[in-house]
Amino acid sequence: MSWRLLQMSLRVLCVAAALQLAAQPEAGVFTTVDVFVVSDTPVAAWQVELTERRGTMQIVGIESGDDSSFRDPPFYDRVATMRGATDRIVLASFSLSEAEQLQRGRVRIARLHVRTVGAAQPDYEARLVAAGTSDGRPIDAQLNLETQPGR
Amino acid sequence: MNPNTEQLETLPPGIASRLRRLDHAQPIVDPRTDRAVLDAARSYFAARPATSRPRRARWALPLSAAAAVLLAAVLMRPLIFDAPSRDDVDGSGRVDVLDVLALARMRAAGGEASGVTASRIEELAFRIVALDSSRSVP
Repeated sequence: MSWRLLQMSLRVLCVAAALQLAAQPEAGVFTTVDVFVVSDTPVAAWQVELTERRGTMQIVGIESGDDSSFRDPPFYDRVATMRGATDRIVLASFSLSEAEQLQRGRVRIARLHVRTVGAAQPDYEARLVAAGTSDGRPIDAQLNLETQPGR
Repeated sequence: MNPNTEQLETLPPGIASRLRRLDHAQPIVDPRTDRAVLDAARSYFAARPATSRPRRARWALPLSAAAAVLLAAVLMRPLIFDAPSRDDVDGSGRVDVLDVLALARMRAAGGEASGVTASRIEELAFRIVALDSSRSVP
């Protein structure tokens, strides 16, 4: 009798453990995505669209870049970000500093903290929507992305 | 001086006057020939159309009107269909961060007198990054 009771208890425990594991949300992988702009001309304003082609990206944080002339964090769609998973995000920022105070060359303009789910590696694509000089003149610039896992 | 006239002047006046009368040209077309030519000409021209003005195609006027309307539509299209956006501050034809920068520069240069408020700059900045353009900006 006690043996049967013990077996029944073990079965209930196993089922409960299995149910708990199934209900637990997937932890996902946290990475940082650094966005760099490369330009010989000092960039006073930029707008970038970042896309994750597999649609598994969740933005959990956005930081400013290295250029202290850009005092505030970039503008982005806060509502869409708070909603959770989104396959893309648009970032933009500007500075009223003079051209001499702005950085040139390869400059990190933003850092995104991203959570991705699933085993597949995220596939990011960045597009420069617009960039301009301190006098408002549009310029062509290059974009680079660097991803670092688990920071 | 005509040599013939010189010769007549050297002749006696009676002979000269008679010679002058003989020298007058006589009509060689008699009235019957003249009438026949006239009749032939009338019959020839009677067979021709009354007017020889160039013909105008019937569709020339409607076609001209349609072309005028089309030209007017093309010229007015930017004003009617693609009215310049208030947010296209730099007039580039699209609204992006460079318009936000232009607004901020206007405010920095003119202060409150520029009519550009900080909230307008922020509102435009959030609008250009909005993923759903129909949604209001936070």
